Amino acid sequence: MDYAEVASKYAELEAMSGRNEITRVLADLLKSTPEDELASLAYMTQGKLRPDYEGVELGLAEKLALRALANAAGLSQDKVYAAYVKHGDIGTAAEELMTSKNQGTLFSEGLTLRRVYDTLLRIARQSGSGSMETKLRELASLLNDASPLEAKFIMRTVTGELRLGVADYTVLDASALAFLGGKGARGLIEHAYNVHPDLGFIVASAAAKGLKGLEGVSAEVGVPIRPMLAERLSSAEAIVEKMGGRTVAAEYKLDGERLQIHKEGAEVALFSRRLEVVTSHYPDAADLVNEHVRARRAILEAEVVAINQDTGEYLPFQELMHRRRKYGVEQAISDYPVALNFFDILLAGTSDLTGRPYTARRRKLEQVVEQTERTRAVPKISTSSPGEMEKFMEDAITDGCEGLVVKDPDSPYRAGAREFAWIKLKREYRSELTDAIDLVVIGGFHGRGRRAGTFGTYLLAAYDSKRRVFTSLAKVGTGFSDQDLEMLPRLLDPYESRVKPPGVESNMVPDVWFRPHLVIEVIAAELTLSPVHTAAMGRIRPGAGISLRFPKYTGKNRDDKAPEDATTVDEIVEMYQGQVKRVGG
Amino acid sequence: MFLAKSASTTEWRAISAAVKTLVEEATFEATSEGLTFRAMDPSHVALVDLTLPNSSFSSYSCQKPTKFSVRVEDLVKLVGRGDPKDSLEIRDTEEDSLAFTFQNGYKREFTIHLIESTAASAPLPKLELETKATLTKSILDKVLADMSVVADQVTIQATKDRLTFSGKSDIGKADVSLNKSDADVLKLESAADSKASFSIEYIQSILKALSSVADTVDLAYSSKKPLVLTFALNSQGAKLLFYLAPRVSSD
Repeated sequence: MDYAEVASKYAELEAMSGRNEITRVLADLLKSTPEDELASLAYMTQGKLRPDYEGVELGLAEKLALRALANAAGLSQDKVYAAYVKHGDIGTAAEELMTSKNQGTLFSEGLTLRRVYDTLLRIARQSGSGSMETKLRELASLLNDASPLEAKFIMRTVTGELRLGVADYTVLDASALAFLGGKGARGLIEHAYNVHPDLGFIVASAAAKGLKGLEGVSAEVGVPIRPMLAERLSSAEAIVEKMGGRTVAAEYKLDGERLQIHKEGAEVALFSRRLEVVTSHYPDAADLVNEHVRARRAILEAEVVAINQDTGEYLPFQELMHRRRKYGVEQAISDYPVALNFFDILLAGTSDLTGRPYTARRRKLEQVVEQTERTRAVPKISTSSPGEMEKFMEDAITDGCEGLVVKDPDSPYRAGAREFAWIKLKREYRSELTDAIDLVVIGGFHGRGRRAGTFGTYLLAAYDSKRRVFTSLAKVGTGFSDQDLEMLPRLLDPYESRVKPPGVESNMVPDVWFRPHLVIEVIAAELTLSPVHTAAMGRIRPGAGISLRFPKYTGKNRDDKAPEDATTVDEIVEMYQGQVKRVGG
Repeated sequence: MFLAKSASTTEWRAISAAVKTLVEEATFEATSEGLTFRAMDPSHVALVDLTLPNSSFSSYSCQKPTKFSVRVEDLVKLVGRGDPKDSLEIRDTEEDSLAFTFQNGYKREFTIHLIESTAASAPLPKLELETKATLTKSILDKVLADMSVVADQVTIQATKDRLTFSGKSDIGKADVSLNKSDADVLKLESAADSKASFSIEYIQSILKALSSVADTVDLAYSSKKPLVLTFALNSQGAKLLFYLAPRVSSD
């Protein structure tokens, strides 16, 4: 097919705003495209060349594209740049400049869709030294044979700026109209696309094999499935009501990155929520999958979370950002190891499980995932009680989670859908902690890994000045230097106690108790409600105390303070109330 | 069996540099008559047509027609290792490679692997050109350098006895006139007045690549037609033709 035909349809589409009209024009275009070029065309309407998960990216640097344009139009780079600045759009600039094209050619051949697609693909795949020059020549050769209108869309496509206003779902609608007898087939084609989100493949299958072909599309290892998404409600009551008062599943919602894990033998591929390949960010997670997932072939979903290797505590999401870079991933792997919290399984062996209910998938998940320090099925309860759910929520927050995801036990995995079958419960309010606070060390937990033989984590208390007791507030395992780890046990040694010391209130039992003496300075992300810690028990909500989220030792010991001079429970309550903020969204 | 021996490396250095201005992969075709190469740059603006007859080598043999494709970058680096006084022998070896042997007393031998090339051979434009001139390369270098001060394209006007080069832009303009009688003009024939414009950059890069071989250059063109520059690489008939498409407007 001639690219001129494609370009003229693009121009029509660009000028339209009604979705029905766009769908109709697009359907005409699809119908007039030969079957073996449909996939290319489908990607190109999205300004792409391959499905996103293959990572083939256009986005040629503007400067390079303008140089190619200058070559092809036979104009100085200054002139080309001036036209670009004038129009603010590289496509319009190209159209104008090619109209007054200056450089002739020895031979010219017309552009076909295939030639444009193949050339762009070569440009996208070029890398390494000398690739800039090759890209420049390839693009210049297309532009040389391009009409002004063709040049406009080629330039926008190659720089990643093509915006026809045609969404992927509109292309699916148009395919239904063109090949499947109308909009009645929309549900089927959308489902096929959600399970196998390769637009070119789906459009080509619709044209070649019709409804039958699409019915056969199922989950496949190596092709990421569009994730099922959760709606959001702000209270446990509202969720239980929405779910019809039934017993539902409530799972921890971790503060990490959602990964879709594809395993085929020893090959593991990891996809992000946006279906990009992120395997290279988490080679250690891929290893964990190989060691602890008992299935030869599977597609699983998990939340990957950074952990403190010495304490096993979960770290905030930001710590995962060390992985999102080109260099130094190895360093990040040893500094910020990760744990995998599996929460769904979509394929096991040869069975596509997406149509099975949640409970069946969860059962399978628990069979397949080995529970270890670094891998587990995400903590979950089954309940129909809002109170129980609230309490589980507080546990989740104390453990460093964002909240809960509540799931309808009968729901299949609805790829790409955001429905009330899954509902997020996040806190409506959060209480940020801006100042450092001074807390009393009342216990220690034995460390592991590099902290074997010393304490890995300390239990800290605030002073309840009214009742004259020390109440537990948080466990802290972050912020300690090697020096601190060596020095603190020596400072605390004289105060060790075999039993819980008098005047200390704690539900949590450390490996070693300390009589209140040493005061240390701590910072934290926020103050949270906790069913475990005893500080301010019942003061904010019945049955709940206050705790710290992501606490961290500042390195400062407050030798100038007696334990009774530590931050008091009254101060903590005041901070909690004073700093409560509504959570956005 | 293919073998081509040259008394000096000068031609090959020039050839590889010239080819490099246009393409990244080059396919040479060998027959018993000699070696040829033809390629167009991807933007179809320029073309190189190279002919190395068997007589232009100090010894040459080719039993059956063959093609050799190489990465031009590798070729440039390789022949760059030769001193001008070295002789250079190129022959095919069994395992899809070409052996290059430099000799000036002792021998140095390199082998490079051939590549798969899919590039189709470029057709040759059929042209009847009305103006033909022979100039020294030094005057052409100088004129183009003059033009490039103000412009990126040069307009060439020819009459029976005068060749005028001009360039202009927002910066200003430059004009150089050469008469048929000037020492740097070895020949000037013009069947009809001709006027056409060409990219300075393209001409300069081919002149630079061939700076060490030819002292003169034949120039042929017509109004609104391509420019053809012909360079003699040696006195035994080895030549390189450079075709350049004209600019469309003349300002």
